[in-house]
This record gives sequence, structure tokens and C-alpha cells, in this order.
Amino acid sequence: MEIAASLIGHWLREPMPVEAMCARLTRLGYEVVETRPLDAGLEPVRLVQVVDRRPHPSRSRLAIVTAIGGTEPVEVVTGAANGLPGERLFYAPPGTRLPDGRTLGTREFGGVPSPGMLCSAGELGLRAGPGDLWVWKGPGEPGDRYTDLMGAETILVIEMTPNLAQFAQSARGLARDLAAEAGGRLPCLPALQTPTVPGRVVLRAPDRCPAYALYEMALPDTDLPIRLQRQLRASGFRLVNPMVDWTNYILVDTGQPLHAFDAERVRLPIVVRMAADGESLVTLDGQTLTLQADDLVIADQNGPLALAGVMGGRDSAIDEGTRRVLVESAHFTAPGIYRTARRYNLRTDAAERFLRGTDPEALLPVLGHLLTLLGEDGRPPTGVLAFAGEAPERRRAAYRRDQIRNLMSASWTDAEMDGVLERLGFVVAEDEAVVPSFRPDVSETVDLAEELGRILSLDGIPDRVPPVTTPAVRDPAHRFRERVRDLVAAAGYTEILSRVFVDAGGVPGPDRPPVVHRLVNPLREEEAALRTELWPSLLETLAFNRDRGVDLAPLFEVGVVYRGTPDAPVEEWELAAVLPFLEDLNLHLHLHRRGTPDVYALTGLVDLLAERLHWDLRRVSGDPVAFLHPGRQQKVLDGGLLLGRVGEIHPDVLQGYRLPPAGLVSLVIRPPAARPAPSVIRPSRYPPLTRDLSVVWPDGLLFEEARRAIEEAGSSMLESCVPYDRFSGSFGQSLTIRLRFRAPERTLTEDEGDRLVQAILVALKRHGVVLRE
Amino acid sequence: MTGPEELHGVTLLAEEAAALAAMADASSVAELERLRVEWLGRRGRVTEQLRAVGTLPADQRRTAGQRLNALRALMEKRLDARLAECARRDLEQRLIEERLDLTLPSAPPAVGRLHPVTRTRRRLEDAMVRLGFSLFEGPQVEDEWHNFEALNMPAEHPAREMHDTFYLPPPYLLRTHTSPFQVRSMKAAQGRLPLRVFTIGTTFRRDDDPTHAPQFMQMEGLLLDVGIGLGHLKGVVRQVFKEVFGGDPVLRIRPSFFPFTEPSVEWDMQCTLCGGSGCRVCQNTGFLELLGSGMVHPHVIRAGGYDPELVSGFAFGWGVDRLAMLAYGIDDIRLLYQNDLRLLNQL
Ligand SMILES: [Zn+2]
Repeated sequence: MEIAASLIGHWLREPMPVEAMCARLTRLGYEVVETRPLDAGLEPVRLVQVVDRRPHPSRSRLAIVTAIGGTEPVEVVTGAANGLPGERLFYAPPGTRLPDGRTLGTREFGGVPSPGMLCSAGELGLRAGPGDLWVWKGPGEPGDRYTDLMGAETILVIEMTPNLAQFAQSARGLARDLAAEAGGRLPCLPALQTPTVPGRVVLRAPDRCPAYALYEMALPDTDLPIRLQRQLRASGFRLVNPMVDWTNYILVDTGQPLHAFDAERVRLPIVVRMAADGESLVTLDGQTLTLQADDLVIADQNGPLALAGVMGGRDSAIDEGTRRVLVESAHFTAPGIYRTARRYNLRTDAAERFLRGTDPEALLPVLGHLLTLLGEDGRPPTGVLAFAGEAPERRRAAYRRDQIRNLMSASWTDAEMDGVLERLGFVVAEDEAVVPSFRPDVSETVDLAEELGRILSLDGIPDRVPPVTTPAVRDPAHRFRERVRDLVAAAGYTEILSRVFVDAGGVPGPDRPPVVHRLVNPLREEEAALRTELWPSLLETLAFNRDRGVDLAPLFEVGVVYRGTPDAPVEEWELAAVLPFLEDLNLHLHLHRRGTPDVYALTGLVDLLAERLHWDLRRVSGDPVAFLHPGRQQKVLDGGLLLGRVGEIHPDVLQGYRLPPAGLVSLVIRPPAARPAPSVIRPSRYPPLTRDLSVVWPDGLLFEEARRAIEEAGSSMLESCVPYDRFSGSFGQSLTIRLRFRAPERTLTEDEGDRLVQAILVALKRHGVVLRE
Repeated sequence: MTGPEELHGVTLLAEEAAALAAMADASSVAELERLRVEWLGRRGRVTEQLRAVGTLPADQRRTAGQRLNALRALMEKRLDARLAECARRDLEQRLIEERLDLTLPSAPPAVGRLHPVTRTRRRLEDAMVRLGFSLFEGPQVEDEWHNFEALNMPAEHPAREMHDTFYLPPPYLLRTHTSPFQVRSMKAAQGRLPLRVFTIGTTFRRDDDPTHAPQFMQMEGLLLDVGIGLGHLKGVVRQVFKEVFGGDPVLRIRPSFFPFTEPSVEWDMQCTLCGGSGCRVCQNTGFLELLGSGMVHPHVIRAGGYDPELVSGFAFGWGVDRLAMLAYGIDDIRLLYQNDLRLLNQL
């Protein structure tokens, strides 16, 4: 909220410099995020005295005014009727920035230059009459600065937390805390010494409106003094008309909203009741609202006059013709106002106070405050007061001093604590505190502890560190995912973190599972659902980078996907890695490393995860999915559990993103059960025997099948079996396989090698594999 | 060419002496190989003569055999020595020819990198674990009870408006903070004490501007035990700052508000960029608002299944993205989640 520093200050016994006020407010929990002078831009304006006024030579409605004040006389053209010799006016030289945003220069009227201008009150953001130009009657000499004559006014911008806003959204509320911190208390508001007239107000919904006061009087002709106008403006209000401004002034000064009805447009009695469903009301801002039974209205004998505590109605509003007014000072309970204000999206200043909580005991004192201010010119208004209902009984909060001292780790004395609470308006007893009516936020001991911490300062509380009694652990599932991240990054993939929101239509491309979870209130339509797959984010990221002319790189993400059903959401952690099949230009330069990655780099990633993380991942062909190349994909299983897929991405999907060929791994991360560490086989000291076999490979035979046959026939002597060359000729497909044999306890002989190779060839022959001649 | 020459006790014929000289002078491996074949090969002149020794008269055999063996040894030694010299010279020549321009771009091992938010998250996690807090996780799709009600924010509490919530069909929503973890970890602990735990994870608010992303990351710590007070909060949070930022950062505390803690305390750290004199990052305040904390509200303790009359505790939390932005000097949170490789590759 914005508030004038002087408005807070006028409640304090001792003057408080603005910097000190800001520091203390911040320490009390009212963070002052910005301060700025009300008169920014008006610094050059000064008081001048008119010494001459003569007609403009060619423009009959204009006059040339000469005024002194400052270094030398100024001559300004004016269209104002006043501004006569002897009058003191405010002169704004070129360079002045007015509150409406205009920056003044020198203009010319019929050949006569006119630097800057003589000001009306309105041009300085204020209201003073009569006459066009503001004739200053106050103290001061020609040449005095406007800002000095007005006195500095500072706008404080306060970030108000919701708890403090319940009682401190006003000058008086803020001043109460400042006073309490300094050891003092605020003066009481004046009591209103007027008898009440019965029968003018009927309360039909006492839980929504427990108390209601109405004061009828002639429309006051007293305007706000300049000082108050400036305070109101420095509190974020525009000047409207005296009656509205008075109520706004009371609002920001005390926190109690007032509302003024045109008395001649109201047929008493006032009835405060719930709206009938479908009843309608035209509000001050011209909207026609269709009300609901949960809305509280102020009605008269003709129907609703106002949406209680939120906004007045147009038909009972004051205007130029108003002669008498009904000033409402009421208490509306917060939750109902909150609902109504939210229902119609009407966040008025009044609603902003009522929905957080106001002081039910302040209704009459606040009216008294208004009447006192109106009477300061010596003509106190008279009128008729009506009052119905009563303020709710004050709450009592348990007040346990030892518990507070323990909770706050503080060594405050009873007297210190009691004193603070009393200064804040609490009535303190042995083991309870009676809560003042303006503190809807306090109901138990911790609330009192918070108050004491704010006022007595948190800085003085000594630091303490409880000893660590048990060693810290990390969620094993989390640890496993971290190992996955490290390994995939080490394998050359760069991690991304993408947003979980996707188009509700699902992922583009063929045969994708539809989304499960749709947001009720998405930010935008293309982000209206939660992702069920991780890999599309990676393709989008590739496309995003491609669009910016950035070289594509292998990417991965470990993140949550949202599955299950709308009634029973299931969050699963997934790994997705995508590898563009592009040649690395840098590696191309180094000729010995030429080569473009292909799908085997991705099956290799799966194998690496399986090996390094002791994760029982198996790649199995079958059940192809549509988003992958039908002939280049596998399922990835852990035991019997399908975790995901590895393969080359289907060209249709890639085309959707306009991406070059690429492959991916997409896996649910389920940490494997802990397994005993594998026992180590002692490496043999004896040399290996190496044989290369070039064989003719029958169409359709999977290497996997042949490998199993080779391993079986090669017995424990077979150390490795690596296919390293492949080509085709008249004989068909050929593959060269390097076999390496080794015995643990001796050197294998050439004869043994021959026998092993023979056995392997026999086994391979059963699969149709024969030695190439 | 005069009479027989003698070398190392071996009497040489003229052509043998010439061959030995040629062996010493040969300038290439190929020439040495030719000489070896000519003299010592299977049909070499020395080999042939040795083979013929058997046909000599018995009285000459011994002398001739000895001489030829000595000659062969001499030649082998000569050849080997010269061969080693030539090989050395050839290698040196080759090395000169093999010179490469090492200012060409290198070919580093293809290692990827972790996202800056991941790295910042790990830094926080490590700090918390060192301080004795155990890491647990909670769901991102939360129910209203855990996200709001249990945290002292009933249905019409105005504080709910501070949370621009993404709603799913009731009762679900995307968690707006990591604070539901407080109640979840209490319920999971089933009365055990002390509870010294934290969580770190993705949270969501319906917000999108340079300082607010709809998806961001928070960390939340909780310590619950008998006799825990605000002094413990201050002591532990100060330790957390020291662990995360190193040294002894200048800290300022202010009363603040969270519905689920009371009292609530906001922590500001003196701006690390300007040292408190004011800059763009700290918006000229000299301080960075970093961490929110407070004593766990009795209602929350009760919702977690503990008795607030017997135990008390504190919670604290901060934004992981915000710390990452500070660490890497990024002023728009959206950049962190855009995954522009040019940015990621710098960090
Ligand atoms: Zn700074």
C-alpha cells in the first residue's frame, strides 16, 4: 500500500524522521520497499507576487502578468480572470513537471513569449478556490519555494503481508506499532456525543453485519485543508469531491471505510440483509450485477442500495444535486466480503479493508473523528445518529509467558511482555489476554509470541544450534536418479530442464497416448495439460535451438511424467535422451575419428546404464511403437517390467519438428533392488589366442542368436566375441568376427584353438552360418 | 688392395674388408638389408663358405671355420650397430615430418553437462546433508488439503490468493510450494523425534514474467523436536547461509508472514554483487531477499500428527532457481528453462 509519512506521523507524540520511520516499519514487518517525494517535479515552483497586469496586445481574452519573486521579474501570459496586482501566486518556470505528467516549456501567445505558467491549485494536484489561479493566503515571501511552503511529504510504499493487513492497513494502525515499539500508546479517538434515533436501521443478517451506524447531515461544505489533501494524494488517492475525499481520508487514516448515500434518494429505514437470488444492482461504476443469496446488501424500502462493504449503488450515490447525506459506518465480517468481492472481481479500497478485518468497536469513534475534522473550521456539523446491533464480544487468547519464552528462545521478563501487549491494546491477565477489537488475527498464544517478537525485536534472540543426533540420509530413489544423471552426462549428453505443460491435444506425431491431467486454469491453451512423456520436450528443445541456428547436441532430461487417471494421479520419474545422428564437424577434421552416430549409440547408452548402475536392463525386440522406426527399436525391460524404449525416431515424428534423423532412449526410472556386489573373476596371467572368422550370414538371423551359440560352443575359454567387419558380395552378407580365447591357468595351444573354432563353426552351421571360402 | 688385412684378430680378404666398410657407411636400412642378405643371408657368401667348410681338408677345417664364424659375428655387429643408427635417424626424420598444428580445434572427450539448476540444487542438498538434514521427496500433484488446509490456509483464506494456483480436477492441484512436505514428513515419521528433514523439488504458480516462472524449484527444511525455539531457527539458518555461500554472510532478519509458521521470519543477505552499496541485482536496496522461515504453526504440527503442546519446530525454504540465477548472474528466470544450448554450454 501507499501511505503519506506525515499521516502516520500525526498520530505519534514525538516527531519521527522519515528514514527512521522506514527503518522501524521494516523491522516491525512492514517492509518499506520504496519512498518518493509527493512533489517530485515541482521543485522549481515558487511563490511570486503580481506587480503588473496589462492586456495582451492582440488577444482580447489574455493578459500579460508581471510578477516578482526570485532573481528577476517574470512576464507570463495568462487566460485567468484573477492574478491581479498584489496577489501572491505560484509560478512554475520551464522545466517543471506537473502531477498530470506535463513538463513545462516556453510558449508563445500572439507573438508574446510566455515562459512556464502561473498555476491553479488543480495544476498542482490540489483543490482551492475560488478563482482560476491559486491565490496563496498562507505565510511566506515572494521567492519562497512551493515545496518549502507546503512542507515535505513522502510517499511510503509498503509491502503489507496479509496478517498485518488485518489490522494495520491505515495510518493509525501503523502508528500504533511504532508507538508501542517506542514505549508509548496512541491517543483514543473522540467519543461521539450524540443520542441515537431508533427505527432507522434494521439488521437482518447479524453474522454478516453485527453493527451498523448511520449519520444523517447536510452535505458538508467544508473542503479538506491543503495539508489533508496532500496526505490523501500521498496515500495513493485522487481527489474527487469533498464528501468522497473526506471518507477516503478517514479510510486511510483509521482503516474504517465509510460510505455516503444521498439522503434524498433513500427511503428509510435501511435494511441490511442478504440479497434475494437474482436481485440486481447497478453499481457506482455502472455495472449491473445480478446478485446471489450469499451477497450482503444495504437496502431501503425500494431495494438494494449498495453491495455491502464492497461498492455503492449508482442510484443512491451523491452528485452535484445532493443536499443531505447519510454516512454509513458499519462492520461487515471478513469472509462474506471476501467471497462477494471475489465473485464480482471488485477489489475496492473498502472491500480490501473489510475482507481482511476491521474494528467493530470503531464505528462511532470514527464518525466522531470525521465530525471533529469537519468542525475544525469552527462550524461543527449537526445531524441524526442511528445505530443498530453491537460489536462482538472481545476474544480471549491464552497467554502463557513461559511457553512464549521457550518458543522465542527469549529471556524477556513478564513486565516487558505485559507492557508490550498493553501498549498494543491488549488487556493482560494472569494466563490470558483480552484481544482488542481491531485484532482479528490474534487468537492463541503463538499469535501473542509473534507480536512480542515484532515489537521487542528478533535481533536480540541468541543463535542456538541443536546437535545432530542421527546421520543424514537421502531418499534412495533420489540417489539413484542422480547417478543416472551423472552417467548420462558423462556419456556426452547435456541436461535440460523443461516445462511440464503440454498441449491438451497430446504430443504431436502418430499414435501418441492422450494426456491424462488437464489444468482447470491453464496459462495458455498450448500448455493446458501435464506431459505423459518426457522425450517430446527434448525434440522441442532441439527444434528451439535449430531455429536459433545453434548446433544440435545430444540432450537428456530426468523428470516427472504424469500418468494414472485424473482421480488417481501417478507421478513417474523418467529418463529421456535424444541423440541427433549428425556428424561432429570438429571430429571430421580429425580424420581418424570420422563417423556419424547411429541407433547403436543409443542401445549402447542403455547397456552402459545397465552395466554401471547394476540395473537389470534388457533390450528385447517386439511390440513396436509408432513413434519409433519400425525396424530399429527395442523394448527395455527390467525383469518382466516394461520400462521404456530405445530406437531411432520415426521420420514422421522428426518431420513434425523438422529435425534430422535422431534416436532416443525413454525409460521409467525404477531403482533396482539392492543386489550383492558381483564376485570378481581373477584375470588370467596367460596369453590369449585370437582367431578371426569370416562367415556368410543368412538373411534375417539376429546376431544375438548367433552370439548365444558361439558362447555356448566356446565354453569358458571364450573371452570375447566381437564382430568387426561387415560387407556383402556374391555370397550374400558376410561378417568377420574376432574371437579371443584364454585359459585361467595355462597357455592355450594352437590345437586347442582349432578345436574351439571347429566347435563354434559346427554350432553356427545349425543357424545357417558357414565359413566364407 | 694389398695383402690380407686384419681386424679384431680376424684376417680379412680384401672384398670382405670392403664389405665391412660398406656396412659401416651404409646410409639406409634397405642398403644394410641388402648387405646382410649378400653376406649373411641363407645364400650369403659367408653362409655358403661356412657350409663349404666341411668339404675342406681336415687340417684346414678348424681354422677356416673359426675365421668365418668370427667374420660373421663381426659383420652382424657392424650391421646391427649401423641399423640402429639408421633407425634412429629415420625416426627422427619421421617425427619431424609428423609435426601437427596443435592450434587446430581439439577433440575433447564427448562429455555432457548438468543443468545449472541441477548443480545449484546439489550444492544446496550437500549443504543440508552436512548440517544433518535428511532428504525426502513429495508429490508434485498435491491435494488441496496438503497444499492449503493442513498449512493453516482454509478455503476462504486471503493468503491463498498469494498462491496463483494451477488447479486440476478436485481435489488435485500442482503444489504451489514445497511446504506440504512439512505435514507429509511429520505423518511419515509417525511420532519419531527429532525430525530433521528437507525436500527440494519443482513447484508451480500461475505466473509468467522475468522474475516468476510458472514452474520453479524450491527447497524446504524442517526441524521438529522437544524444546525447539526461535534461537534454534536463527542458529541453523545462519549455518545454512554459511554452508551455501561460504564465509560469514551479512544477514538481516525481518518479521514476515506465512500462514503455516508463526512467528515468521524473512532473511535478507547483503548483496554479494555490490557489497551492500546497491546495484541492479538487489534493486538498490543492498540486500537480497532470499529465505523465508518461521516456527511451525501449532495447527500444522497438529495436522502432522504431533502435539504442539509437547513439540515445536521450525521450517525454512528458498528458491533454488533464484540461487542459480544469483550464482550465474542471470536476471530472467525464463532463460533457465529455455534450454538454449549457447547458454547451457557457458554455465
Ligand atoms: Zn547489490
